[in-house]
This record gives sequence, C-alpha cells and structure tokens, in this order.
Amino acid sequence: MRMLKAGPLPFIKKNNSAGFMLYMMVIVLIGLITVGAIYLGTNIFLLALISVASALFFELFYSFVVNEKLKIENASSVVTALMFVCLCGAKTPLYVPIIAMFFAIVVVKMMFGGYANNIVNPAGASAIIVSAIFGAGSSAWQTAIGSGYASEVGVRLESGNYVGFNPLELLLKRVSAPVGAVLLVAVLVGFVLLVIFGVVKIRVPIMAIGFYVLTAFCLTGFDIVAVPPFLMNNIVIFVACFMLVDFTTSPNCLLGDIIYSLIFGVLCGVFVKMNLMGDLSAVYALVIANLFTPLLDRVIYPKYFGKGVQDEQ
Amino acid sequence: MALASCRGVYIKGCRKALKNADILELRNSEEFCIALKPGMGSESEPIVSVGQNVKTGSVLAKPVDKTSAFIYSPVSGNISKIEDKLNSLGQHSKIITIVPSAKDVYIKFKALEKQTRVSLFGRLVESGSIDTFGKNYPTYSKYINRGVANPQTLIINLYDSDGYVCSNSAIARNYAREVAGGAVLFSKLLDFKKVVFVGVDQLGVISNAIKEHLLGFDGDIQKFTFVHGSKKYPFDEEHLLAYKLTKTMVKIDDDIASKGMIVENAQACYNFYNAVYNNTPTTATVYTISGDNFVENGLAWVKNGLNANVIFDQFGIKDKEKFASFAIGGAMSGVAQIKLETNLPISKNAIVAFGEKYDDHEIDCINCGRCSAVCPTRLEPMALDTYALEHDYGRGKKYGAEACINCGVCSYVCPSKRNLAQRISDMKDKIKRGETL
Repeated sequence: MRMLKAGPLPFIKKNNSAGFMLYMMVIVLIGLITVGAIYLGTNIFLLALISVASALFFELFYSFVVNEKLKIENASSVVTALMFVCLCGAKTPLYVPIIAMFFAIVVVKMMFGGYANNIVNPAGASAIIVSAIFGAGSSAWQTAIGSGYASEVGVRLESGNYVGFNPLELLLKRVSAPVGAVLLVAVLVGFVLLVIFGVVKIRVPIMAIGFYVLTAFCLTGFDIVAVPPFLMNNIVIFVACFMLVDFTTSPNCLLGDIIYSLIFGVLCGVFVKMNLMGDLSAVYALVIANLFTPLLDRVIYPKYFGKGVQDEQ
Repeated sequence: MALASCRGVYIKGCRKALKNADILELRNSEEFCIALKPGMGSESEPIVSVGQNVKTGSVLAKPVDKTSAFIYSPVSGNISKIEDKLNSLGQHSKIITIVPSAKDVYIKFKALEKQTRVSLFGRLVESGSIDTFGKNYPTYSKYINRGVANPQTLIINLYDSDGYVCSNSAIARNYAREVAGGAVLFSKLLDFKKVVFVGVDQLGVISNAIKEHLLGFDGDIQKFTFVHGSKKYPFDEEHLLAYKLTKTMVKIDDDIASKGMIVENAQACYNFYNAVYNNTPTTATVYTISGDNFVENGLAWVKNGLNANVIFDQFGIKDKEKFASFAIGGAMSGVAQIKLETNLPISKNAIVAFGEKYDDHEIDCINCGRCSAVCPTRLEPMALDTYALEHDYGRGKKYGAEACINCGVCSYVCPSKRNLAQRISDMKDKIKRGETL
C-alpha cells in the first residue's frame, strides 16, 4: 500500500509568497533606477551594482561572523540596496553605498534580529546616517547623496513661491530629484504595479500623502495654490509609495496604519514646508514614524470575537 | 487551482463545476469499515458480533452517553471483523467491518403515531444522524448537552461551507421537500419562534423550492425567513452565523444553544425528515468530491464506511503518483490521509485530492498583517504564533487564542507559508488543558 505524505492544513494555499513580493519590488526598483539612469547617466547602474554587492557581502559577512543561517534567497538585502540607490543623487561617489550598506545591513538590520525584525527602514536609516557623516545640509552632503531637489523645489516651497508650478509638468517632466524619484509618473506606475501584484497596501500611501498635503495646506495658511506643488513632490511620493509600505516597519491593523500615516504626514508636511532636512525630509519623517510601529502594534489590539462576553455557567 | 480571495477564501472554479451537478449513487465497496467513533464524541457500544448477518438499517452500536450515537448498518451483509484501530480521522475507535451481500434487505423504524415533542426527540436520537457541521457530535447532542435556554432562533445552514464543499446547497436543491419538512420538525422540537435559512449559492432557486413545500408542513409560514449570507469563508461557522443573524455574540467555546439558538444544516434536515416520515435511519451522507487530482468533480451519496476506492473509480484519479494532499473534509480544515485506501465516515461531507503541491517552505514572518486582516474572529495570528512558539500560553489566552475557530484562513493567505493555524490550534488545546504559564 502506498503511503502519502500528510501535510498540514489548509491543503490549498494562496498563490503568493514573500519571495515573490520582494522580487517584484526588486523589478520595480530596477525599473525606477533605469529611468533615473536615462536622465542622470549610466554611472547610476555602477552605483546600483556596488550597492547590491556591498549589501550581499555585509549580509554574508555578518552571517559568517555570528554563525547564523544565511537568508540571502529572499532578496531583502537587494531591495535595501536598490532602495538606497533610489535615494542617491547623480554625483554620489561610488564609496558612499559601501558605507551606507554597512550601516543598513549590519547595524540597522542584522543587529536587530535580521530579516523582518528591523525596527526602522534600513535604506532610509542608512541614508540619514550617511547624510549625518557628510554633514546634513552642507554642499558636501548634497553631492554625496543629495540631488538638488531641496535647493530647487524645496527652497521655493519654503519661501512660499508657489506660482509657476504646472501639475502636468510636475507629473511628466524630470525634476532634480534623487535617482528613484526623477520622474513622478514612473514612481506612480511602479506603485500601481506593486498594488496590482498585491505587494503593498494601498491605504498607507494614500492616507500618508493625504495627511502630508493637509499639514502643508495648514502651514501655508490654507493657500489652495500651494496644494499641487506639495502634492506632487517626487521624493515624498517615492518614500510614501515604496518605503512607508514596508511590512516589517509598518503597523498591522487599520487604526495603527491611520496613526502611522498621520505621524508621517504631519512630520513630512512640517519638514518639507520648513525645508529642515533638505532632500531627506520625507526620509526623516519615515524613520520617525517607523519608530512608533512597535508601540502601535503593541497598544492597538483588535477586540476579538467574544472578548468581554461573560462565561456561560 | 482556480482561487479567488476577498477577505478569506472563496473558490470560484470548484463551485461553478459543482453548481448543477447531480448527486450520484455509488456502487458498494467490497468491505464497509464503520467506525464507532465517527467524530469528536464518545465511541458507541457495539451490539453485534463477528459472523453475524445484518440488514440495511440494523443497529450496529448504541450510544453510551449524550455525545455518542446509534450506528446502523449501511448495507446488508456479514460482519467479518470488529477491531480496535485508527479511524480515518486519526482517532482510536472500534471498527466494524461488513462484507455486503448481493441483496439489500431493509429494516425500518416503527412509524410514529403522533408528532409530539417527546416522540420527535426520541426519533432524532434514534435516527443516528451525525452532525456534519460543527464538532461531529450526534445531531441530538446540541439539544441536551447544555440545554437550550429560551429557544428563539433555529438557523438552517444551506452554506457551501469550506471553499470546496457544496453538499448543503446540493441537498437543498435536490431535496427541497425533505429539507423543508426537516426544518419544520426541528422547529417543532423546541417550538422555535423564528427559523432562518441562510445560504449563498442559488439561494433564490432553493428558497422558492423550499417555500413551496413549507406550507404543506406548517401553516405558520411567517416565522420562516431566507437570508443571503456572506460569501467569505468561514462565515458559516455557527457562532459567526448566529452573530450575523441575531447580533448575539457567544464565546467560541460556549454553545450558542445557551442563547436560545441552534444551527442545523440541510443534511440534518434531510436525515430527520427521513427518520420521521420514511422511518429510515441515517446510514449515508452527501459528499462533495473535488480537487485538481480528480478527473471529474462531483457529488455522491456515500454510505457509512464506504472505501474511498469506489470514489476514485467513479470520478477518476489523474495521477496516483502525484498526490500532494488527500483529505477527508474540506480543503481548508479537513483531515489529511496517509493512505488512499481509507473509509469514509458520515460525520464528514467532502473528500479533496490535490496533485499540485503548493509552496510550503516556511520562512520568517514578514509582519505583513494579512493573517489579521482575514481572521474572521479578529485575532492577530502572527502574535499568537509567536506566543505559541515561545510556549507563552498565558499571553496566548490573554490575546484570545481560545477564540480561534481553526478555519485555516491565516495559513492560507500567509506569504511566508507559516503554519499559523496548526500552532494556534495546538496552543488552544494546551490552554484548555490548563497549561498556561
């Protein structure tokens, strides 16, 4: 008599996997980097290659040092590396991704328990660390990972000069943004693809951008003319659509998502309006919002079926 | 596999294939192996011996307590063995093996003289009907286990439960008279004030057919209503159904009978009708045969203890070497089988066979929250999974592990392929046994 293997129930599973989701993210990020390379030059590909190689090396190195099982097949380090490249500028020196990946993979990710255990987004955190090393706001930093967006659009938004922004141009024309956010329409197409393939939650970016625009609208003295330039801010949309939706660093329930989006939106609105953090305003807001996630997941717990109902005797 | 999901599982392809399928009569197998413990309840006590000849409808075993049932012979034949071994649900049980004879001779109950509550309840106990819904106790047990306080609502479940199980709507479609009559008998049993038929597929057709027959059984047609249920699996679970229909929340571990509600299904109505009007005991149930490793999907009457080989012959197996999973019960919460030569109990109503192996390589949780988004009882399966892995049953209890209904939806949607349902179910058992730290 032939014996069968008795697997655990359910005997069917949904045709999705974490690996597929991360590989989809990799494909979309490569698409965005390619768009960036078209406008900023092919050295961006070299930057991406060095970033990915450094990320994989540091993951391998850490796993070897602490004798942990390597989980390289899930491509999460590659996503981090590509995400960081998307935040880089055209003139970013080639050694910057190596330093950034050390912090992203070893410090932010692996030291907090590795894959899916990091508290903040590794790419975002490493961008902030690198910017701190090179001196945030200085011209040295701007060439290191900045792109000039803050000096072009950011300064105009800070000074209240909202006239002359054409929404269609903002959507379809290249701006001086980081690699991944050069073309707004490309960012949006990438996000739509991720939504279609079920990789990201649509509600978080929509709420976050909504809160961000609302905050900016309030800070501009309810000036309706200010809404399009704030709304169509390439970097904010890139961060909201690709980094804010990271499963590991975002809450699990609806209420948690609302509060998380609110924190990001308000901080981002303030940072962008005041031009406090330059190109990395949205990234700072993201990392601060990420820090609230463990707390939100702990405090907000849905009321399960039957909770509070008296025991039957 | 044709799957679509909308907050849970809803298998389109399977239901489409089975929508208008006929319920087939199957040939007898060479042997019938009848388990005296067909579900969660106690084992019935055998009253026959090896070598004895039995007729169709002869009593094989009698109940020993209120969680066991009368068990009847599904065929005429000779008892060849009575032995202790595992039943197809993996439980230790006495199994009676009957070798069927060429000719079936039937034994029937004595006709009821009057339909009083006492006589009807006696007939329900006598019928040997096993609940194919809920916990597989005898159907009568829900009326006496905790008692029905202030009977209010009788819910008749016509759901196609568990993605791949279509037997309820098939019975209601094919045997509308029996289902209507059975529902009226159940309502007379405790004089329920309201009877709600709840279903999803083909409810329009089914309700018209049932309404036609209801008048013939009960003049008070006003108390019978038909409600369209949610398509999302597993909203046919009795606590969730009761909550949806009456807004009364009962803890998952408590009986909804304590709040005056009872859930019966189309099969139970059919069985009760036959026991009262045709004086025949329950010896068979409708099975849904589905899954991609069957050549054809369909519905069939399965006699208690029938060998699954008969089903394989009738519906065809695509590839015997490529069995990824074979289970008795639905695709979501059935019982996995380790061999093809198994015997089918009447406490289940489906058999599934899949040749396509899904990706079951378990990796770390990515904290995506999909499990909590689909959980019908609003649990946080990933948090409970962590508590289970840490053996922190106290926190598991605090965060509602006991409210898990073992539907398996969390494991179904998990992109990290984690066995959430199994670990939470295991933790629930340990909490029940008092293993909270």
